[in-house]
Amino acid sequence: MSDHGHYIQDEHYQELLADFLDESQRLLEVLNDNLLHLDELVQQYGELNRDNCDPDLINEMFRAAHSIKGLSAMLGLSEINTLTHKVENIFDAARQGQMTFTAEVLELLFDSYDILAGLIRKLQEPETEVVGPETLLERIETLLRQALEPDQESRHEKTPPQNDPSPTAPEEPAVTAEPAMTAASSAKANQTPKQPADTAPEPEPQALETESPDVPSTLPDTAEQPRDYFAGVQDDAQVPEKYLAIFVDEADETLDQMNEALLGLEQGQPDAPKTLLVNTHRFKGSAASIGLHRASKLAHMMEEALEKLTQNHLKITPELIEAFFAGADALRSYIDGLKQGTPSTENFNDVAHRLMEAVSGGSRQAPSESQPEASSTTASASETGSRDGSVLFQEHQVRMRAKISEYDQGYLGWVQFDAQFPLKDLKAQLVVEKLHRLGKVLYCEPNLEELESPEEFENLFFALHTETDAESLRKQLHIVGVTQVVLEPFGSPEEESAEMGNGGAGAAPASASAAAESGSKTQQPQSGPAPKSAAKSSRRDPPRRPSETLRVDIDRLDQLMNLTGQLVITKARFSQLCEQIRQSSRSGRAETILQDVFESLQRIEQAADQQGQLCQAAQESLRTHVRRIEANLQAVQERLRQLSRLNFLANDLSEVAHQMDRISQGLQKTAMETRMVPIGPLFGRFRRIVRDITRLTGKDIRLNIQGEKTELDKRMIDELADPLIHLVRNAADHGIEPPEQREAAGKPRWGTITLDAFHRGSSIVIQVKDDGRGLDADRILKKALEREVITPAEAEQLTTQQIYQLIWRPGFSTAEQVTEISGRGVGMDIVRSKVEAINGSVEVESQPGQGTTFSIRLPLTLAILPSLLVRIHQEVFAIPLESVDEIVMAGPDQLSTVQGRLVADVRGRSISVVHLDELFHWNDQNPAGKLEPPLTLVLLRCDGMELGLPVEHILGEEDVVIKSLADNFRNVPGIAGASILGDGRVGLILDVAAAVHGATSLSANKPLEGVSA
Amino acid sequence: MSTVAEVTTAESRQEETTGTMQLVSFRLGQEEYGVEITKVQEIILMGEITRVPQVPPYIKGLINLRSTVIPILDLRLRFGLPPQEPTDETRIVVLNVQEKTIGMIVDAVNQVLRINREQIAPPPPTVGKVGRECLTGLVRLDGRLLILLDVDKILVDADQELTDSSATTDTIAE
Repeated sequence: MSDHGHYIQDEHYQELLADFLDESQRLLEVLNDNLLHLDELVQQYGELNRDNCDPDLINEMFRAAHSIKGLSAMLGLSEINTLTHKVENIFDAARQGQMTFTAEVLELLFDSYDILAGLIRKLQEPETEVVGPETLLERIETLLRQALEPDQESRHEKTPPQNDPSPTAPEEPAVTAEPAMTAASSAKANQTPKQPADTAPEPEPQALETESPDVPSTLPDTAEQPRDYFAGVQDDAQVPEKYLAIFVDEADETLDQMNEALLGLEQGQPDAPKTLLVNTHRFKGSAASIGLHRASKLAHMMEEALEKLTQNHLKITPELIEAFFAGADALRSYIDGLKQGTPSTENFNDVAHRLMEAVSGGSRQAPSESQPEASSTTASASETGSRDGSVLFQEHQVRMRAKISEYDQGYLGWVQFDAQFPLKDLKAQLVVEKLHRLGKVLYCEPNLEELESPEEFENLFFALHTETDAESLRKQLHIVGVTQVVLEPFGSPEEESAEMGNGGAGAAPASASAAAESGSKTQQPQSGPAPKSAAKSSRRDPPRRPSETLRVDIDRLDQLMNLTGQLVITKARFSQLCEQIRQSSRSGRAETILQDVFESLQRIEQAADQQGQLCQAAQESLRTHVRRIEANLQAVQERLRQLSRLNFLANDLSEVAHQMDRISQGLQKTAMETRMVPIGPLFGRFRRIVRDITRLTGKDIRLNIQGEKTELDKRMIDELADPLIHLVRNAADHGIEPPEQREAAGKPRWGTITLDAFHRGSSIVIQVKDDGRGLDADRILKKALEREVITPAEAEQLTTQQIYQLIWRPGFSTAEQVTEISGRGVGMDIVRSKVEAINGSVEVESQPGQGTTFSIRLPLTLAILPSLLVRIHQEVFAIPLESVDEIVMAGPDQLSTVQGRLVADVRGRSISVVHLDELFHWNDQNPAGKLEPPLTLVLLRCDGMELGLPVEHILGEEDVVIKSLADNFRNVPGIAGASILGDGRVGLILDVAAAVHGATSLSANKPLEGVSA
Repeated sequence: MSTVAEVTTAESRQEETTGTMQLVSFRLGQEEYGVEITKVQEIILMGEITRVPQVPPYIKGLINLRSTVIPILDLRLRFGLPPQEPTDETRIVVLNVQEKTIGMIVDAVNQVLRINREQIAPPPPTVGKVGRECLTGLVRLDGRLLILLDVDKILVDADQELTDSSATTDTIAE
């Protein structure tokens, strides 16, 4: 399929590549998880083959490899394609019992995984250097050759149940890669899908072909036989909901494009087949990758037809186009069913028939009229055929129900055997044995030992109490000679679905198809789709609508966050303006004063009237003046009234501002949530890392993962990977002791590393905890002195906690020998700077002999920081709230000095007080107003150290939006960034860690200087 | 925004071929300086500047330019001239240099003018030592002397100094 590469049009390529990266990341995770699981099993049991291994495990890995293979082929990524193809072969061989998993095979698989992951990473980051898969391919080749060839003879002993020698089924052809095309099938060679392994999880399809030679030639008939293209193709019982949502979304889009291309095909657009091919292939891949194998199969068949079309082996006929439309419609209605959460009854088989007819019609130019008729009659024949069985099953069910009442979970089952199959009673016995192994058999009819005429025996009914799930049970029971397995769950957890299963079984005959039709050997010894759908509905949880998702470029989310941040700023400014307006619009006592003035004026007027001796002219003039003043005052009064109305308006405004506050908070929260992803996948990576370390060091280490559902900002998760890897490696390498030492210390041989993530207040805490030897204070101190990180004088004053903090100093390492795993130990300061780069902090706690805990504390989001606003040196500083312990007032009697340094007594604790001016160098000469007691102290805490920072004013709490200084300037030591305040001014965000550390160097008589340029 | 930028770059390309260039001229003390117009984002009034500790003295602080925080450089201090209190004429020239936006305080902004490249003479070797590396040349216009500034250099040099000094302060802070 690697020749698909040239179909890709450029504009699609990037999008497809993004899809591929997304998808393959998930598939790699599946591979990794399952490999690790397999690895555990191999370690327990030595080796594993198909019989003692969970088939789901192998199948899942097979599918993951297969999906990557398919997707990579589509994109023309030949290296990935070749590698996954080989890996797929290994799993395929394992599924067929030809491969035994040993430690070596697993090592090879892990190596393959690494290279595969590397190749995929290279697509994302082209500059990465990766090892090519060449040598690996040879190793796999050798392995496969060894596994396949000498195995031929020994297989019978190894896996007797499944491969019970049956005279009618010679086995060699099953081993060959291509199914042997026999006379019977060659007639319909054109319509036989060439890749049975593609979507069919069962190896049996090949066996079907090999049986045909025994058929007395009914060639023309078989060609017309309605065929169940979906025999043995089953959907995975459980599709993870979140993937389903993504799939549904994607599928919708793909189907849209498919329909458009089909319309183009109809109009004879030359590139329509290619577009169609790309889309069907994509659909096939994504459906298969989440386990919807039936839909995938249909898409696959469409793809095959399209391939012929593009290679000009096929002519476009109206029938063909109709068939394609039918296919697209069938897929669409199936997807719609998924969206509604109602398990749909698809008609894939009918559509497939139609497609195949159209294909054969188009290629042979000879439409066969008889086919539809033939298929419909045989279909009805088969209906009657299996109805007998299902009626019997219903009868048996009544009897079974009586026996299962006291069991809480299990299955009622019906195994139908191929009536023509020789020795089927032996097969049945095998089935019964298997049942006994799987659980408690509560009912089994007929009793095989008393069976008198094994020839007539066809159905086996049973009730089984088991915890095995339907899917694996079905697989276990589905051995050669069995035509179908119907399972119906009973018991509390699946009560509801049992009914649906019942309905499914009722509907079974429709598609139980040729299976039950006795006499014809050309049918597959496979279950029809009906029992499958019964199983599907029985296993799946009550249907729920998958939530709809949308893939969004993270840059857009960044932009959204940024805008939200600006809104938060604007909101703060808005509230402030409201307050100002309200204050300035208050008329206060102005009205009363005015009233007073009016009264005085009146009195003057009255007085003037009474002053008879005043001359007439003067009296008149006085009156005029008073009146004019009165008129003016009235105007003023009017204005004042308006002002007081403004006051009301200001109140309204502040109400609106409050509302805006709520909205912006909601917006901020939602914008933040869109960026949140669970930390689980990141933690998951450490399983492998710990496993590798275990191998290298011979230590026994168990990884305990907690809180994987805790959500973090996507960007933060990306940034966290490196520091976490470092911490985990350190814990595994230096923290956990070798088993002998642990035993000697009275601890279990195995060490435990715990990864945990949880919310604490407004931040998220991520912990890496080990139960190892703990930090060795003496060694740290020795090293610190050796490396001159501290002076001997300082060393004497340090508490154990303070000694531990020395590990964060640059270039510090306590590992006596540099190991391959944790390297040179230059990492701790890098861990710290990485964490601080995302506004987090990291702290260490340790108990000698008990272990060490590293706690990374992160803000909920990268962009917005809840802070305390204070005024220092006449500038506004924002102090991250998470570093603020409390705010206290310290009067003169609470302040004293120790060695010349100011110390405050806070409820009995002595806390050093450091002025910011002692830490920072300011350019302006005029010193800030000297702070005099009582001092307002903000108590800061960092790395177990406390510091009292005197501030001029406390301005309040505010969520500030962090602006990096480096964007337009550069980073300034001691300043974590800037923020735009409510009044539009710029405030500085204090870097608490730097301040606290600066303060410690002060106390160590190392003056902290700014730039003295 | 982008279209404007494209137009101006296209214009400047054309100018390179025709040999003319447009300058924004401004005053610093008694001297007149010119900056290529393509580097100038806008010219704004002096506003309140938030002071920042731990930086060289010619960095006056930070301002909020429409939700972007940009540093403000005092060109007088950068060139070793005596400081001066802002007047009514004092302006901040906002420059776009090397993907960063910075502001520089100048005494006054004069005009936009067009010159021929042939008019540019190399700076005499006796020009003051500070900031000499930022000068690309001199232009004589009707008896006026215009000093051409290379803003890329202003930033690079300032930046250099910044990074150097930040390296030292970093170690001290540790």
